[in-house]
Amino acid sequence: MKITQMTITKTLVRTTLMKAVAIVFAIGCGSTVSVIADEPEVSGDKTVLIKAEVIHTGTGEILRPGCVLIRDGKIVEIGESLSVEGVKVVEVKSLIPGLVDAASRIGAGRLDDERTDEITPDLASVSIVDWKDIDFLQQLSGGTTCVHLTPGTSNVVAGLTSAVKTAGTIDRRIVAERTGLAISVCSDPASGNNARSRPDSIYIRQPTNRMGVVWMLRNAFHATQNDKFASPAMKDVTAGTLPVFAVSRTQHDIQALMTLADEFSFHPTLIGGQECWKVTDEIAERKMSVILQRVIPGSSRGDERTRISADMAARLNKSGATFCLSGGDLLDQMRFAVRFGLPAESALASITASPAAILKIDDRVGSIVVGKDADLVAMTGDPLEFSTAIQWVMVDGAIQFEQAGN
Amino acid sequence: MIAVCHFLRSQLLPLSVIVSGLIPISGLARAQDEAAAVAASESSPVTAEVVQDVSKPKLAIKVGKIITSAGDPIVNGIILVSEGNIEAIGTSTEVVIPEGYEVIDHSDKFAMPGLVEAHSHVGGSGDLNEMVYQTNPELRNWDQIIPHNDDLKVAVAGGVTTICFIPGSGTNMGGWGALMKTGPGKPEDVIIRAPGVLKIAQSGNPERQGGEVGSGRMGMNHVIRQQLEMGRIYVNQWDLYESGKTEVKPEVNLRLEYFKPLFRREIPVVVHTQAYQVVQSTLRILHDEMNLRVVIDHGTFDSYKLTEEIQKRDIPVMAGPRGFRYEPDDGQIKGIVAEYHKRGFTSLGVNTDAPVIPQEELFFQASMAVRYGWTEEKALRGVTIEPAKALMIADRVGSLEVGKDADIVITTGSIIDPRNYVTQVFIDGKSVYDIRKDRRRF
Amino acid sequence: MKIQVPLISRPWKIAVVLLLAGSTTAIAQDRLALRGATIIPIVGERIVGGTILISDGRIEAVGKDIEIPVEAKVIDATGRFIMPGMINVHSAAGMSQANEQNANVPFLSVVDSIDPIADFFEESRRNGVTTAAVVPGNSTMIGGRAAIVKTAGSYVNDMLVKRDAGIKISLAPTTGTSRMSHFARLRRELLKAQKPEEETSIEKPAEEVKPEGEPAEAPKPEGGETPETPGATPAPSAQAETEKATREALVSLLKGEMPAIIYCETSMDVSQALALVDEFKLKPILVLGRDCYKAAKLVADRKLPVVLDSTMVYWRTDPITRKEEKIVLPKIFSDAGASYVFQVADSGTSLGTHYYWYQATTAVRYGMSADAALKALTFDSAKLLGIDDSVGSIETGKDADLVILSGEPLSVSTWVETTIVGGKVVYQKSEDAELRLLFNPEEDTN
Repeated sequence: MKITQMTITKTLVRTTLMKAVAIVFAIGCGSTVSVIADEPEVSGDKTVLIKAEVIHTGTGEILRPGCVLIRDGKIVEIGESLSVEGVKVVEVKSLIPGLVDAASRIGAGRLDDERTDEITPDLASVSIVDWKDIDFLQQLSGGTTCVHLTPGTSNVVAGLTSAVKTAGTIDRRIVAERTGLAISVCSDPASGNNARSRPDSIYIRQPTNRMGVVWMLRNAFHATQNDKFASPAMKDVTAGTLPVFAVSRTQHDIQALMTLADEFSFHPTLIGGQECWKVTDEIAERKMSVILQRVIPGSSRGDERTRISADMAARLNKSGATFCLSGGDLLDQMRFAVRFGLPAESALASITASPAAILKIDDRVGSIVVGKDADLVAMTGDPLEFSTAIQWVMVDGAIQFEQAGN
Repeated sequence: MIAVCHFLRSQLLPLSVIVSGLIPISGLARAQDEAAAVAASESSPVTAEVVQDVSKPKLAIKVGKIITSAGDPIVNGIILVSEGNIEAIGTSTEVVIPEGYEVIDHSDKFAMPGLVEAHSHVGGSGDLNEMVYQTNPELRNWDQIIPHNDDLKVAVAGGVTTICFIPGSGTNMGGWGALMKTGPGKPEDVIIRAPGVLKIAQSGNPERQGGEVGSGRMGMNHVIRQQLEMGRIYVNQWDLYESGKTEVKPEVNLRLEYFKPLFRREIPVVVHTQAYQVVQSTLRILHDEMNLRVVIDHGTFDSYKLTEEIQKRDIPVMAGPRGFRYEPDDGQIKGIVAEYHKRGFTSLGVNTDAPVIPQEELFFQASMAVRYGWTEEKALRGVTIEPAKALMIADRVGSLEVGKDADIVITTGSIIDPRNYVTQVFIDGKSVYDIRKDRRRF
Repeated sequence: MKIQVPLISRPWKIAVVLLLAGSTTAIAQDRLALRGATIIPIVGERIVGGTILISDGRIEAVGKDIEIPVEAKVIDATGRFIMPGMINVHSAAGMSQANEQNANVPFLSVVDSIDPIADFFEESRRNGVTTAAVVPGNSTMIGGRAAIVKTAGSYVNDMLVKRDAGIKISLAPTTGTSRMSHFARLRRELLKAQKPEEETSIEKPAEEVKPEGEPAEAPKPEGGETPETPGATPAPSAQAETEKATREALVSLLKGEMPAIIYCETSMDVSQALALVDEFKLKPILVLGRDCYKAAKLVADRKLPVVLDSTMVYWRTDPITRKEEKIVLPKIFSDAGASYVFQVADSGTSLGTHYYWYQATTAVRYGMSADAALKALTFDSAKLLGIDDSVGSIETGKDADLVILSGEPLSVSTWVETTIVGGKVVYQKSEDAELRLLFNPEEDTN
């Protein structure tokens, strides 16, 4: 596959004192791979025609062969064979939509959660993004074009989640500033707090265990409903205009989340779900969407000593639940899910169209459909096979990552 | 013909819980089943054709000797189980087995009521103590119940079918606990009552806190009193409003909501209290001043010297986990329970404070108490009906009587003799442990 | 591409006559035939619809249209793929405690520590690994003697392929030492072993402690300890015994009777390792940490096949330029012209590096051919360990160590169905209770 552009390698420096400097270099033997262009050569106003032997559109439809016409960073036409005059043509074997990672902690420049308070609903993840963070490059190289930034689980009410692109010009990288509110219905917020710290420590505070976590959530919701807590984000949640993303992994945490959801009438999306095989009935009944956190394949236990079922994705798929995978290495996670029972035809959606739908950003990303952003991944063969490689990754119409030596 | 008796349970669900919008977790669903069952039995008589419902099996258990905890043992008895309850109980001549009932033959065994544990921390995840504040009436523990978890699986093999699952004693008021069955099911299926009890600790562990009022005995009683007083005022406001004596609707304070069933004496406070002065404080403050239903949930060391005062107030003692002490006056070993018993006290039981003593060893606490001077008969009551009464769930558990939950433990002999062991356990009429099929766990 | 749903619930087409649960010994099978599969011999072309005849634990015949003797038990492997059992060239997981506290213990043997019922062996069989080199860890300077075992058996002596398969040397400095002193000490020990014995012994001659009087030699009590009776010749001290054993082991190494399994933590260790090899005429097996990619050319030029780290793809920030780059070990080494085999991680810390097939697909993803990858897992690994005369390919005369796969070896949905060691079935997925629980945790009654 040839494209006519030079790829520019940039040095990404993480110290806050220095700016990123663009230099061109190569490491001998093609051992490394070309990386991000901050000011892409293939910029948005150019037109590109991509011809592929196979296009997995992410809608269920597969084109063999297929063509995609890109203009201004958007998909303007799709067909079996298109012919356009005077336009750059790129030929690839296999094309899939850019991957969407529905729960990610990258790109925050290693900044931690706000420590002065456990209830921080109005802190926005989008405001601490370090656009040059190497995390974005690493995710991009794995095919991920859009990530859902979720504040961590150190806080009971962690803050506002957002969806951003992993590469491109800053003006185009924010897909949604405010996708929802992240809460933690698990034991994570309790660690770090200690009733026996030094008297001047800010960590002498609830929650120091799960009981405290549940209480603080109940209190926050109750206070908001009774106009005692003036948080715009919480207000929107109780009004039903802002979704809730809740991290729960164990069975009792998932059940506690459901109890809370009933008490305060909200409809959360579950992040984590390691033990949701124990409560599939309730999840199906409530039509709860599940963003699965990654587990180690072949291991029977996960975080928080959860008991894992290897075919979790397959079970959710079978029950008809809306679900997706998350947490990096999405292609390999999907392949393991297939290995453990997820039907092939549902596999790609679990890292493209489904997360986009769950995050309500499917008007822009998640599938190769006319009108959506030109976020595409070119691959050397069947995306479901481990031995298939990524050739390049396109974000908003510009190729931002290319695997050298192909 | 069998007279099928059904009780409509007195609904222990505090109305206030519904009013305040809190989730009614206690047996609301169960009560509805009850109502349906009564309706069904009244409209259509029991026919010969009985279809077995796997979730509510109809059983006829033949037992060599039935310890009922409600009177004399029954030799060569039969227990009929249906709808999860005890339908009938009596000798083989008194009870006729209806057609379609599965007959289970334990004629070489004993049966007794499922054991009731008054002080347990193994009902779910181990989050026992939230120790930032001295009093934590906003905390509750039934969001972390893990039904039939690994500890409870073994507890079942020790015959324990009901536990009072409570927060720890790290603070003066640890939070609200739940009364639950130890068998499998969803949380709402296994919870008997939530809020089940309040947990208060009046000495010991909270004294290790530093820095605030409450590190000493004066301070902690002050703090407890203060918090309870806030609760009492709150409940009083709501009582006035609900009875129409005032038009002003009080604000809902989530932190104080569960005080309603407590001050209305619908649920008890179980108190970590031991040693003379501390138990005295329990009697003075919690019973005399606050008029609460109290359970002394340790009552060890020399607390038995207060037996008369305890008896006067009709307060039960669930003694343990310590079983004995050396009397300083004469250096003699004294059994804690035996000392209460000697003084004529009968609202008496034992506990394990699981996991301090493993939950399955509740019976053994009773055995050791007998060793130190209790009677075997009282010991059997002390792990069944007495804790059930103390926890205010004696309408459902604690004895084998018509209408109560079919929580039945089959043993090779009297459980007070540690050479005997449990062979089968029924909870709500369903077999949850059977050494003929499951691996023997204890 | 046909994706196969994991086959837990489907009835097997294989008519397996001999069934085994787990790892233990089987009923003796004199002759066994595997019929109908696509055979991947590694050293030759694939055979579609072929037959493998096994006799007395060895491969008796391979090919199409092979007549199956009437007394042979038959496994119908129609539609399956059969490849040689894979070989793990370097792992400490099969033994308890991989590192001793003392730095120089070449006389110790892993055989005294191998645990046949360790999870490692069950996992190996589950994943089609039939031979494993159990090697002392990376935290001891001279860690001891490695051994090569088959991954099935209940008694280590019965599992041995090669008892003294090499002596492990680690160039990673042990805690508290610097690289300089670590390396100096290593050279010192090897130099000492080169010299004749008298020059290096610390044992004092017996005359210096001869007492007065000459009583008869005291009888030895049980246990072998000689008591200090007056007049008896003092027994050699424990330290002297250790010295002697160390020397014997190192002399054996210097004579080339055993390879030196050398762990290089960073690139600079590689050149040091090669210097050691040259100076002491060692037969090396180089085990490279992930940082050693910078020495790819070095080992390529020396035509030394190496063992890659289990972390084969990672991101690295150059400490000086702060430039970030993606390191892909198989690609770097291939481009340099080096040959290599794979390692797996002991436990799952990343998605798939604990599986050999995953490591192979990673290499294929970055340019290796599938055939070359399969060869690395089998024949190349056998050759590296010097056991390619008995394992590593499906050829007449070799051990019947075979893996029956449900599909194309490196495909996403392919599982190991049956693992055969020495002609005996030692693993069957259909009987794998632990794997079943992984998919059905609700059935766990524990």
